[in-house]
Amino acid sequence: MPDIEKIHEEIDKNNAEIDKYNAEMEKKERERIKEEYERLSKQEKPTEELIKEKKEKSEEEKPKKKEEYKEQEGEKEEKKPDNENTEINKKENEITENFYDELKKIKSMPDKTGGLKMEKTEKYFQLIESWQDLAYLDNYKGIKNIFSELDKLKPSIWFYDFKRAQITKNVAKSMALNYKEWKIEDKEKLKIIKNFVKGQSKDKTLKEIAQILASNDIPFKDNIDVIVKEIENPDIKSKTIGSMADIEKQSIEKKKQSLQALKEDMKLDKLPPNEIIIELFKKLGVDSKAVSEILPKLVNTLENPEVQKEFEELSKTKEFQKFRDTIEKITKGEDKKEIPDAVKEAKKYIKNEKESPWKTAFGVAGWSILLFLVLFMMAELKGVDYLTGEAGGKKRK
Amino acid sequence: MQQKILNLLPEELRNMASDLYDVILERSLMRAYQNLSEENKAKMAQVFDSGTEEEKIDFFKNYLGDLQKIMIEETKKTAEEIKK
Repeated sequence: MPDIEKIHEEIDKNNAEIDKYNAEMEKKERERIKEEYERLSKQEKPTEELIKEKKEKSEEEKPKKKEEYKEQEGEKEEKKPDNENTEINKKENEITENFYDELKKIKSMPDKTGGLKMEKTEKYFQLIESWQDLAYLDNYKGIKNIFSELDKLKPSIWFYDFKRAQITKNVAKSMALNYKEWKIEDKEKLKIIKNFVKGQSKDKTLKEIAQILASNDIPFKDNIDVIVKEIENPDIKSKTIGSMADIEKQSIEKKKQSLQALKEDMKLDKLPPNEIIIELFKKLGVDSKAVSEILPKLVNTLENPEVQKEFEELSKTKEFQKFRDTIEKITKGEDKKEIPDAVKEAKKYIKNEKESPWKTAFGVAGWSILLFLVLFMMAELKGVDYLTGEAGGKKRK
Repeated sequence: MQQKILNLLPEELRNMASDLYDVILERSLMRAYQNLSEENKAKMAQVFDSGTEEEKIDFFKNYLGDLQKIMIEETKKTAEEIKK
């Protein structure tokens, strides 16, 4: 038998063994996830019970507090509202009213021109960001109202869709972050979360929500499992369930740190002014009108799990490998150069302009360059054509 | 903060774009640095090592004013390098 045939025979044998091994591993993984799901489903009391316990405890403590208050404040006690309308409730109502007043003010702002629309949109976004942590007080009705207003406004801003998607996700995450403070039945909370997350990059957001709830020690049974059931993509679903056990094992401090890091990550960029970006794009030799048309489509399409899967496939192509090698050659070539500390530090400074990326004007340039690189890479890999359905059609600009 | 725009991309592309941005920024700063006098090079080292926030911003404005133009040029050059 010629050598080449022997080699093929050997390869086939090895492949068969690999397939067998993979099938076994897959089976084991499925069993592990099933076991994990069953284990989580059986454990711990639902949150309603915990809240009931907490309420009972605080009821026990209440008389003591009242007496202490009486002793300290004397006559002031008479002015204190009854249980139906406590100081806390009053303050909460006041906070919510203030947010509604702000909403009313923004609604009355003029919006006839593009500039005015941009200003109004930015105000709405800012209001959502400041409201989201306390929006559970009115069950997120005010925030939903803002989103309806934004739909009516239809602003034509480059990064509108991108920022709106981020803000929507952040509101959903806030619902999970404030789950314990939100004083309605768990069933209702979960219903509101599920309805809110519909239509966005649903599975990914639901996964993050489940992880936040787990970090907040919310029981899996009758709570997190309701969210997990909504995840359609089996891969994301199994990864979510798998991550529950990891979170469960974490120390309280570690959980706190993760939640803090998440809150930091929720802080968003101010919308970069269209004019400056257009100017910089002109200098880069890019047709900014074409970009403004492509960008919203790109943002929406890239959120789609099906498209993400297609991109995973794309990364296996020869064209992609070649592209990656070229970039690696460029970046590795740079590594060999000696860079003075002054340059290293200045670079760090520009990259870390956290509070205001527009502070030195290089932040805006950096933002535009990053966006340019995103679009350039997509165009080189024919990703833009594919995503916008223009493959083989219109000439790329 | 700037990196958030990269969240649009799948992980591998995101890393590649981030690496490219690093290259562009470093090349641009190197060019701007080489245009400085020896005295200002030393000043830059001092400001970015231990200077205040205000001193850093002032240094960008007063001595690296053409950095944005250089960044645009380096971006174009890098894009051409990739296309070759």
